[in-house]
Amino acid sequence: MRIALVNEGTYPYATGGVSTWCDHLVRGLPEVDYHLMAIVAVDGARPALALPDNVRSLTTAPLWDPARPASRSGRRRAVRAAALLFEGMLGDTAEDIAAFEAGLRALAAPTRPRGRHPLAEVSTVDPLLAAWARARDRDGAGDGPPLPRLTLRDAAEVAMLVEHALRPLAVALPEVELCHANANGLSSLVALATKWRTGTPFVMTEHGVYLRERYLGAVHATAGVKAAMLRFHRALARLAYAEADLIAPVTSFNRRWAVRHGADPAKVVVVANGVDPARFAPLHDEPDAPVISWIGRIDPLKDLHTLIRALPHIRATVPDARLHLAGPVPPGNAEYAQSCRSLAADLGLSGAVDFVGPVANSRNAFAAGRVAALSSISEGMPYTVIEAMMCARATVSTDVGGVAETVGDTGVVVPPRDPAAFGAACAALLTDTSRRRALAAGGRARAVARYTLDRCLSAYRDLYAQVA
Amino acid sequence: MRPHHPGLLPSGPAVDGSALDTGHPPRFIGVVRRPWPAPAFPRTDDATPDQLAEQRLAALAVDLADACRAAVDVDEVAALLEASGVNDRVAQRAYAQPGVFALADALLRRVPRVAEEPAPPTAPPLRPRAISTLVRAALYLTPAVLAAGVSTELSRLPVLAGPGALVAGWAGAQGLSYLGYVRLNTAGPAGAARLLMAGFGALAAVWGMVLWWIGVPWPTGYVVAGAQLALFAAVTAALVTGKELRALGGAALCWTAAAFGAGGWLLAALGVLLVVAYLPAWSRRSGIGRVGIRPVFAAGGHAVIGAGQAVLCYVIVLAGSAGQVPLAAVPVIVAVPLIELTLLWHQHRITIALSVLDDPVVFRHRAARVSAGSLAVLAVPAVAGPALAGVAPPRLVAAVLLAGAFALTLVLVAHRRPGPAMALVGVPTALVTLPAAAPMSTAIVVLLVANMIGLPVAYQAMCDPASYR
Repeated sequence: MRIALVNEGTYPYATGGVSTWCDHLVRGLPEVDYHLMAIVAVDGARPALALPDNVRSLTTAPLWDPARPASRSGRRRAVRAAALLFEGMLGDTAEDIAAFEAGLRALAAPTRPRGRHPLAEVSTVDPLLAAWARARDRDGAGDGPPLPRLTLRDAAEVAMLVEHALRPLAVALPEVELCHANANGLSSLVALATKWRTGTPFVMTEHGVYLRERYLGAVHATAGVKAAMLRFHRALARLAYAEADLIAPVTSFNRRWAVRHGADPAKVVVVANGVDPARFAPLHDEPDAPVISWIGRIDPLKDLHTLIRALPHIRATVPDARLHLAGPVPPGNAEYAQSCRSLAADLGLSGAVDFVGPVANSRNAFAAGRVAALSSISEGMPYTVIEAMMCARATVSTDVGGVAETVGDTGVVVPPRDPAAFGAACAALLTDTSRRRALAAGGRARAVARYTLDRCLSAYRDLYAQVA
Repeated sequence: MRPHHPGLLPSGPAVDGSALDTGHPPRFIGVVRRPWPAPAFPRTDDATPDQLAEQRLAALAVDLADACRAAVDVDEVAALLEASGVNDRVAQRAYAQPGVFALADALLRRVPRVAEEPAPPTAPPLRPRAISTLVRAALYLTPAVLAAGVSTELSRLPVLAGPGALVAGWAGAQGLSYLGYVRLNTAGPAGAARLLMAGFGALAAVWGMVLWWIGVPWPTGYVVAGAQLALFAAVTAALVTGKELRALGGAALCWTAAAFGAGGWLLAALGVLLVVAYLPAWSRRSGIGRVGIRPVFAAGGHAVIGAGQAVLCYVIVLAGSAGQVPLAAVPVIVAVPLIELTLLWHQHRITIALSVLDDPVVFRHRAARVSAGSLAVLAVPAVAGPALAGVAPPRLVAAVLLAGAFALTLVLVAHRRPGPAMALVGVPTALVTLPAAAPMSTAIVVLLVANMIGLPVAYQAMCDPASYR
């Protein structure tokens, strides 16, 4: 079977996270011939991962490299298509989605010389402003937040961003039987265009929720640019959810967003992440000291402050309890990492909190503790929890994202941002050896039953066969 | 220039991690002060569960008022809630809402709409940019100033070693700087500096072979030609990579050495300038990115403009200057920073207009007014040149008109009108260098006509809204 696997900014140019997942998938299904398409910022990078033999081609779609414009007549058609696209993306009705689709279909049509981009060097500011003015008039009667003003500078910025976002339309995929978009958004844009051009069906995997991440990522834009780009991404996400032949979120938690935005529930199949049980063999021994281990990147979303604040509550019951924090400090997070150290110092816990930095194998980090902790305020389906369960370590986690459904009744789940509750749960496990061991054994059994790599691969093998 | 838009589109120069992970962590509200169920929630013994939920909802609405007011829709509030740890169970348990989306909707409805305020005018502060503009102008003029200082020596060398190298360097600087800026957008300063280094290196090698081919004797011709190319290479690198200030120190050394006629010291200062300007090329933080064929063609157009400017500058300003620093250089040296400042003011006014206006028609009127102001400055040489005729030496009159033509070329290039810019420089270059032409009188007539034609073309370009996108 020939499958195009479309990624945005991840496999094979990055390591970890989604890239690791893709690497497992491609290597785990050697019978599939994969044609990789990577949407990248700019071209020219070398893959960060060695590609297995069943990867037949690697195509890149750079978003920010210079692009060849279409012919003069092609550009005139593109302006008309963009007008439809803008009109459709700003509304919320079925007619609006249809207009957005019509605009996108026109831009995806292979009527121009290969490799030329439909909107390169085309000014779409005027149709955007016209569509915006009409949408604001309509919004006046609605009960949702009205569209903000779109200044001329905003409009130029939005036109430019949309033009670049649509760059992948210019790249043609090799002939394949199935397209696997590894996210909504731009990856699915490629899959949509391929489906319209050749009738190739597509499967969409959602690790996080692309649309939600766009909402959370729109930090520095002006109100007008933010509103316009979020409307664009919302319209694109809805269209992709509607057109995908099968949608595979990694948790039921993420499934809600797909269904809310128009995915047919019957087409949504949750396929959980999996890890290799052999790589995360059960830990039979526990350290002598009552240590809570945590592994992840040092990031505000991981809410280490809550974990550190929980330690005094733990030590009220277990006086020699310690925290073992393993993980890198990503670029830009040095200040947050320092705030964690300062908090530990302020609480008089510097000697009880070990920041051990990155580790090569998370199993070693779990081995350092009797209990594995996850204090995040936002998660999808965290590998950390699955790996801890696979290693037979009892877990205490916050009730965020798909965590509760992942651990089921084999771990303790507490509300996020509640140091007292977190501390009490940890202390209870540290002091109750039999319960801790029972949860650890239950977690291992649950992980082996539900979250193995083989099961994940098998699910995709079946999905491919079903859709292709 | 590629802007940085965390979260809206992948924008990093290189793919490092997810393209969505642009170095900025996703936002979370961070203002939800009360964890749920929270000891801080108001608890009254006689409150019913519904009343408690209502109190919590009211408290949350206060916490999230700003976020809700700025939200595009319900989903944005829901995303923020989820990123702050609120899931469907929390929404049901603590707020008696069916789920996160319903909770987000309830919060949005509680936040009163406020009247929309006009967008505040925003533009980078003018004063630091003016200083930077003057520094850039000083660097830009350095090769011409030094050439003026050694114009007699240049004229004694074989044509291709003296004036020829000046033209090659000027053309190379214009063309390669265009490619350098393209490269800068994707590969950062290191990538741009490396491209310039390779480009000027190749140019120097080719020029050296040409000199050897025509039999220029070693070493003077080679040294002077090489020094000119190195000077252009250094200045171009500093301008493209934005390291003007530190390069200015090296340039000042060059000026000083040239003023005292110390050839050895001038070469040493040039070496310092070259090293300083190309420091970014050694950075390990180089991005990636290819330069396509289209930018190469465009760069060719810029190189033609540069060559024309150099020829005109040599013929009108430098040639036959009888060993003195030519007086005719003064109009060009004065005009370049003045026109740069004028364009800076013009851009500042336009930036402010774009940031506050949402009506293209109103903007066109505003752009026309601002352009009229800029045009008044651009027209000064076209008025002053004829006024000086008969009073000042013909070479000075021609130089004044040349300054006007340079200014108009700059405007046309800045507004993406390479064709008219090439014509504005190319036609006078061809006419002035005709063997039968009497250089100064021909130059005065030709450049006056060029100014008269170029002014309305430049005005039209400045009024065009598309040229600001």
